This record gives sequence, C-alpha cells and structure tokens, in this order.
Amino acid sequence: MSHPETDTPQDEPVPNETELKISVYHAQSGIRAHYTYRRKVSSLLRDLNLDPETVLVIQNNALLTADERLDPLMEVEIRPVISGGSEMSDGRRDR
Amino acid sequence: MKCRACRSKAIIDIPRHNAAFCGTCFDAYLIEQVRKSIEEYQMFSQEDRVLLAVSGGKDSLALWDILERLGYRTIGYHLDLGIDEYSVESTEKTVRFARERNLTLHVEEIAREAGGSVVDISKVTRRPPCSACGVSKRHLFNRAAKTYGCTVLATGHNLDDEASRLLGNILHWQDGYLEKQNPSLPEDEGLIRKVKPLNRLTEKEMATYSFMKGIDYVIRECPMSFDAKQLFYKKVMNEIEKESPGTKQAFYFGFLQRRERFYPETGDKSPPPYICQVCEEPSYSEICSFCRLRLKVTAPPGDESLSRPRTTS
Repeated sequence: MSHPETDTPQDEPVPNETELKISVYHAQSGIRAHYTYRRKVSSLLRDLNLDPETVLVIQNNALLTADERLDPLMEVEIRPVISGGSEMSDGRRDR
Repeated sequence: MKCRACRSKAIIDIPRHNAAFCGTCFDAYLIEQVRKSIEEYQMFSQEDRVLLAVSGGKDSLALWDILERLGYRTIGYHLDLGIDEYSVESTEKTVRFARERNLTLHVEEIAREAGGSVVDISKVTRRPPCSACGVSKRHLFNRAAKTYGCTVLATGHNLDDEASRLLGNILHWQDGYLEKQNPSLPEDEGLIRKVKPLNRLTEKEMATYSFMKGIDYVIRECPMSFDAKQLFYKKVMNEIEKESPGTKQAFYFGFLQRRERFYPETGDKSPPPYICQVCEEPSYSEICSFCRLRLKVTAPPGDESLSRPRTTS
C-alpha cells in the first residue's frame, strides 16, 4: 500500500494535507491503520491500490460511492467483497 | 452520484449498466434480477421445497433472505468444514441468522460425515483443499436435499463466480465442465436439480445488499483458499472489467446463449454405470468419489487399499 504525499490534480487540495491522517479499518484482516487524508473516496482507494468494484467503503454506518467525500474525523471501513476458492465443478462426473 | 431511477443520493455505482441506485431502488433492481433468473431458467416454483446451501458468507445468507421475501419454501443446510476459527464463526453466524428469522436450518459436520476436516482430507488424499471440499459438498448437499424432501438445491454462486469459472474452464478446455455450466441443471440420475439464482449479480451487489439488510456474515476469506485459482481468475476478470465495463456479463451470458450450440443435447446420455458399493448412490465407478475419499481418510495408517468398505460413526 502506498502513502503518497501529493494527490492527483482532480482531487481538491487539502490544507496541511501532509499532516492530516484518516483512520482506516480493514475489515478482512482486522487491521487499523492511518493514511494520508484524501477528500474523495476514489483518491483513498487509489492510494490503497484498490479497485472500487472489489470493496465496500463505509463511514458512519453508510455506504460511500467513489465520488463522495470522506470525513477526516471518522474512521473508514474497507470491506472486501471477493469470495472464492470453491472448485465445485459442474462436470459430468462431479456435478 | 445520483440514483438513476429517482435522483436521490446513490449508494452504489454499477458501471456495467451505466447506472447508480439509492438503497430503495437498488433493492428493487436486485430483487428483479433474482426473479428474472428464477423465471428465465425455470429454476423452481412456489410448490418446490428448496434446499439452500448456506456457508455463512454474504451470498448464501443474502439469497436466503431474498428467497424468503419472494415467498419460496426454503430449508437451510450448513456444512461445518472444521477449519478452525473460520468454521466456528461461519456456523455461529449461519445459526444466528436462521434463529433470528425463525428459519429451518440443518447443520452437519464434515468431520463426522467424511472422517476428517477439510484440512485432514486434503492431507490424506493429497488433493488441494478446495477440491476435497468440493467433492464432499457435492455428495453431502445432494444427500441432504433427498433426506429433507427437497426438490431443488440452490447455491449462492454469483456472476463473478460464474464468469471466473467459465474463464478457467475455457482456458483449459474443460469440455465436461463447460457442457454443464448452466445456472439450472435438471435432476439427473440420482442428482437433484441444482440452481444458481444470483448469476446476474456481482459480488459487490451482494455485499451491498447484505450491508443494507444488516446481515451479519463472515467477512474474512476461507484460509484454505489463499492460492485458489478461482481468485486469480476473478482478479483477471476484474482488470478486464475495469477497462471495459460489461465484459464480464457479456462473456458469461454470451456463453450461455451459445452453450447448446457448442454442446448440443445428443439424447444418448447414459446413466452412471454403477451403484456405489458404500452409499448406494449412482456412481461412475464401483465406489463414488466421496466414499473413496472417506475410506482413505478413515483407513489405518499405511493402508492404501480402498477395496474394503468401512463405516464411520
């Protein structure tokens, strides 16, 4: 996971950006970490190298879409949605 | 982002449909997708008794919630895989879900039925854990459906599951599997009808529905699936989808439209030639895959023979 000190041009500048951190809870691993605050969900996900289609982003018990703003004072939950592993085939012998 | 239907604040963006929905409109969209699959593929009717394989994950618990809302007659079946804390949590959440909604649930333990946990089976048979798990589930789900008087077995496989499986099957030209990759497999020679009503919906849509409905599901991944091929294929499909939204759905449903052309019904389908000597179910060998596995797991150390049927408690 990267911790870039600058943001992309499309994200609005944040005062004292390098000092402002946001708490992120990774629901699958149970790990809490702090990352450079980004105003937009899409920017945070880019920093974390996450595809918006593979996670739910939750703040204040509400789902956020990629274009929404994050509240720097509230923890963000990142909940992966991918499951898998089963090899239940549909083949003739092992249907 | 605004809801495409009512213009209120959206909670989910669905790039493949070029749409976004608020909670209320998303709920209506999702229910309609499930209803459409059930009807289009003639999965089951209100008269059927549906055995639902429930793992404790988002897909199967959400499917149970949806089928109940649609008024279908369901019975839940959970198989405890014996994978340490992961299985303890899975069983607890499944049992709690059923209890809170007053739903019928049957729980069995793989250790009791197969002689060992998925980990034990994998070690003894030298199969990957997912393979050992799959063989056991196929047998035990089918048996449970018959035991509990169900006419159809439903699983929570979603669009991502089906598209990634299709990719894997095509990459290795698994004709036997491709022929049977269908969201509704009819009853066949002792095998109960199998259906996948979530085949139009993605992982993200199912996770969103579960969150909206307050369904408490197991979020962490099965510890045995860390190197599962299917996860790799999902990653590949998601990369393609990111560049070209809608490809995943077009790939999967395009295949379903062509499946009969690629694999026409020949009418000369022969039934399994054997009755398993141990469980007496139809089989393609004298002892079926599951019973062979169970015999290996329960054999004394050093005993490589599979010829002597054994029973376990």
